[in-house]
Amino acid sequence: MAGIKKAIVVGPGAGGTSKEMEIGKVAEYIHKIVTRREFLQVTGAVGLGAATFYLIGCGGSSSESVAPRQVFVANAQGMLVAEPSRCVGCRRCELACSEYNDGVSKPSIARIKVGRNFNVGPQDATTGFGRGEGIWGNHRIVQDVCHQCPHPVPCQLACPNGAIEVVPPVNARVVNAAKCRGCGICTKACPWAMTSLNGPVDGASTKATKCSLCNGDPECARMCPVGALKYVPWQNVTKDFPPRQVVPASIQLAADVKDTCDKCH
Amino acid sequence: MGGWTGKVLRVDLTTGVISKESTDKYKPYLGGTGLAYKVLWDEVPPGTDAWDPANRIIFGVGPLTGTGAPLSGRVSVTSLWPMHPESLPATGHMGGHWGPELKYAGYDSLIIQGKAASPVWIYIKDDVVEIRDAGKMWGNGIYRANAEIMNIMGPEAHVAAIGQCGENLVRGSNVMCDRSHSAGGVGSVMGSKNLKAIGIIGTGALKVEASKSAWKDLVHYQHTILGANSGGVVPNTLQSWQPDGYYGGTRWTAAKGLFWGAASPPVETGDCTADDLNSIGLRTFKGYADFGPGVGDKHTVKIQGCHGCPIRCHIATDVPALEQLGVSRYQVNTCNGNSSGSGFTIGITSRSENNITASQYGVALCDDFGWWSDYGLAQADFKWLAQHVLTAEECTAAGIDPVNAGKTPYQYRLTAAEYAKLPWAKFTGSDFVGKMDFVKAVMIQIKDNRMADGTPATWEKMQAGQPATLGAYIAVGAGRLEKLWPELAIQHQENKATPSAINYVKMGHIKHHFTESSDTVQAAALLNMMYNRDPMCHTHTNYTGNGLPLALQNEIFNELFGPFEGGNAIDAELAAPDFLPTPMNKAKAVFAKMCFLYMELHNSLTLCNYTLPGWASPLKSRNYRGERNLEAMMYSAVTGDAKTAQQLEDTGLRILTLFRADTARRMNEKDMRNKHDLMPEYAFHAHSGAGTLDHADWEVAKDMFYEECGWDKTTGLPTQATYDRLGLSDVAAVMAGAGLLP
Ligand code: SF4
Ligand code: SF4
Repeated sequence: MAGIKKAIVVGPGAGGTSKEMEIGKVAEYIHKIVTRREFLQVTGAVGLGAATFYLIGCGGSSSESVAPRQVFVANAQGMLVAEPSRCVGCRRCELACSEYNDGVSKPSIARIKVGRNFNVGPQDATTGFGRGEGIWGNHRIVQDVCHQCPHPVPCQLACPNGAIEVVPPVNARVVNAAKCRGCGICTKACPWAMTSLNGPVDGASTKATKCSLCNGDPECARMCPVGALKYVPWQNVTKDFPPRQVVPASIQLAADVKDTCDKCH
Repeated sequence: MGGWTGKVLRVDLTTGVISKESTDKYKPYLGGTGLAYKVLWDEVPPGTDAWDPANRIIFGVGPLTGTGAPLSGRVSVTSLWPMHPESLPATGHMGGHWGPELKYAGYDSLIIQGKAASPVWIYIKDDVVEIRDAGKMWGNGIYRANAEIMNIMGPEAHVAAIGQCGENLVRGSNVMCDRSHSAGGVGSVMGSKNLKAIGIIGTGALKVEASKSAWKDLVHYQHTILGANSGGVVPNTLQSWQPDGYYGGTRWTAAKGLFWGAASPPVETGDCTADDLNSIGLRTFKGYADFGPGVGDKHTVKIQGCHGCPIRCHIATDVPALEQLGVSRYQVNTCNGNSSGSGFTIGITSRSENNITASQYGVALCDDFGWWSDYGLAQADFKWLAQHVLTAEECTAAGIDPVNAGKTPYQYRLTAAEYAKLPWAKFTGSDFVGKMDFVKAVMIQIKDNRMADGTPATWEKMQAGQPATLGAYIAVGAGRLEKLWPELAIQHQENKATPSAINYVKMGHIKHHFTESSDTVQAAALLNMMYNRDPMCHTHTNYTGNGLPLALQNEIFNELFGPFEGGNAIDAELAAPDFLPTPMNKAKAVFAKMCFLYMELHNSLTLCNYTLPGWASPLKSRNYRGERNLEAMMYSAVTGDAKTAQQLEDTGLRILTLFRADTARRMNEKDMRNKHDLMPEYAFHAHSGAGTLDHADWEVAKDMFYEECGWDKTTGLPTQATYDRLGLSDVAAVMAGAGLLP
């Protein structure tokens, strides 16, 4: 398989024809949202891919009448950056997030997460207490924000229901509550633990919450009393942040996208 | 109803029974301190001692706690007060994140009663509430309790704990949460119940009744009204952006070129213009204001504070020199907490490097031991007892043999062996590290709280004449010590030669924004006479300290609460040599009443009385008008129970009136006017830096204030009609039965 920097090789796999794609074309795809069906059509892999899709696909996605799920998604237009040196730990951002999005004050489902780092930083209490960050350490308070990951978006591609969608114009990765079934797989799939459930796993009305960038005017940034949060043009910072949790081996690409991924990777 | 969770959690440590009861009964008192007064009134009979298992300690939060209502992170910790010789009700006020966490766990307050057989802590994770063994934590400080509980519950737990002071029944002890937030005075109640700590993780939701957009607009509106900590609505120094050139007297101390210097990278506080809502939290640069230029700014990492508060007032510092003294270079506290330990030193230049180092060293010790300085009275008394040389006349007046003239009270009162246990040469010497050694030695004696024979100190043993350590005489509290040592009682009344501005008021407690609040002398005195501890009221100083010109302050107040005949509420600078305020008048009486009512409302809703009220704003576009209805608007939007400011003010009066009745009932005193509402003698003598009370005018002040509240003038007790009007007829019946209706 050729390196992604030069081109991606797409094709139906063993026995089929391979096709190289120009880097320019790849770039073009990165900037738009491509559904699985479009992807397969463009790459000439419709036949086998579609067949596989319908065999393995699950839930609502498996019906022709439902919009095909997104696989290969555009980068976000913007993102939140947080300055821990400024953050005073007031957690008004979490309050704004849950109150203005969900109508309840519930920091545990806020899409920006400060409370969990408030005491000892991202460390655990054994290693962080008195030695690390947070109020019990050097006063540095780290605000965790969603990185709006580029493709492959871990939460989006792990969701078995295709419920995490990329919504123009800011292209944030957003939970579609109508599709979300509250299974909680996304909460395990995000290496930074940025998605939450608003109820018990698989609960009747449980939905996932994750940062939607509030359509390009994030409430948390508007609320922050010290200007510690900024909405800026997107850049890929996923390599700059150490993961917060180990994604369990059981969390894999959703069945209906895995086959597509194999075509490139 | 939004805001409330609907359940109050009760833990009986004697029986181990954990119960959840409906909040409905308490809603007329909102929550917080109002709820707690109701619990004490209903459940704890008169005559109960603060350390009796029958006493309750109530961690009170209210309908706004934990919502996005700005300044709603606070907890009122109410109990019968161990500092007070008569175990009267009082409240310690704690900020941090613990209170909101209690709400998210699903509880509108926590009532603790009884006494555990052995040390325990309470585990609260949403629905799961357990009483757990604290044997391993007991004997250790607050830091260790936090670390252990975070290890058990997870790093996101919020912990309220006592240190060795609370365990060892030091009366001046606190319960602390989130490292720097303390509820003073109540630590030993937890200690007496064998309760070390309460750890909470709450993941639930609080409903806001208003629509998302209405709520968002209201919160935004309140942000536009807010100024800085302590109510300042104009900057402390002249700022080019301030349209009318108003400045001065506020904690709005940010400015261009002033940095949180120990942040990495340093953060410029900057212009902080009135309309920039993304710099509200930078306005109050308390590190700079309190520790001085070139020192405070250099060592400030950031300004911390409570959950949901955009204002910020806790100074998070980095003082590398602390490492040489064996404590963390990173400390955090504010106001009086920053002088708890360093108050045991003399000869350190203010605003120096040594000053901040000493301050933060003291924080490291006091906040681990859980010591509460009684708002600085303990150190003021200590310095007088250690330094004042008794004259023959003073000896005679105090019943001491005049041959002891020439000694300090400590030299006379302590046994020679006990006196010699402290390194006095280090106290008086110039070596800085020696001074810190002295602080540590005193702090250890306080937290150990021992008699000279090494047994646990008790008031009974002291009364029986058994010698104690110096630390134990501090631990017993000023109200008792002055009974034991009459020279201290005389000093409290006369306030002569105190090497500190901090003064005693009455019945075992210190003043708080007393007559030195010289623009509102009568109101400040009324506030200081009412409570069974220092009043912890800032409504008056937050309004008069807002930095606006006096005429505008009076104009706004009159618009909101007037019109008044007979003079204004707020006085101009008082003239030497008498420093007498203008005579008591109607505006002053209403001002005083509103200061009480809003403090009770803030401590019950809960909102922060260290920044509110919002009667003025920083906005020239509003001609600096604020909003009388802020509290009512927040309450109505969150709960859906629409109330006007006036209706909510009546709720405040209900809370205050219940408190008044409970105090009178416990004192079994009908003549509250003359037996409870006392003033120290020195308040009637002129001195610079404070207003002077006039005896006749003070009697008028009490008359007018009682009348405003609907209380009887002769006794100072609420009348039947007032009880009835406020929905307290059942309280009136009990008072009538006790012969305490006027
Ligand atoms: S609102 Fe700003 S200062 Fe407050 S916790 Fe969030 S990021 Fe930190
Ligand atoms: S929730 Fe996590 S995985 Fe999903 S886009 Fe955000 S950071 Fe990436």
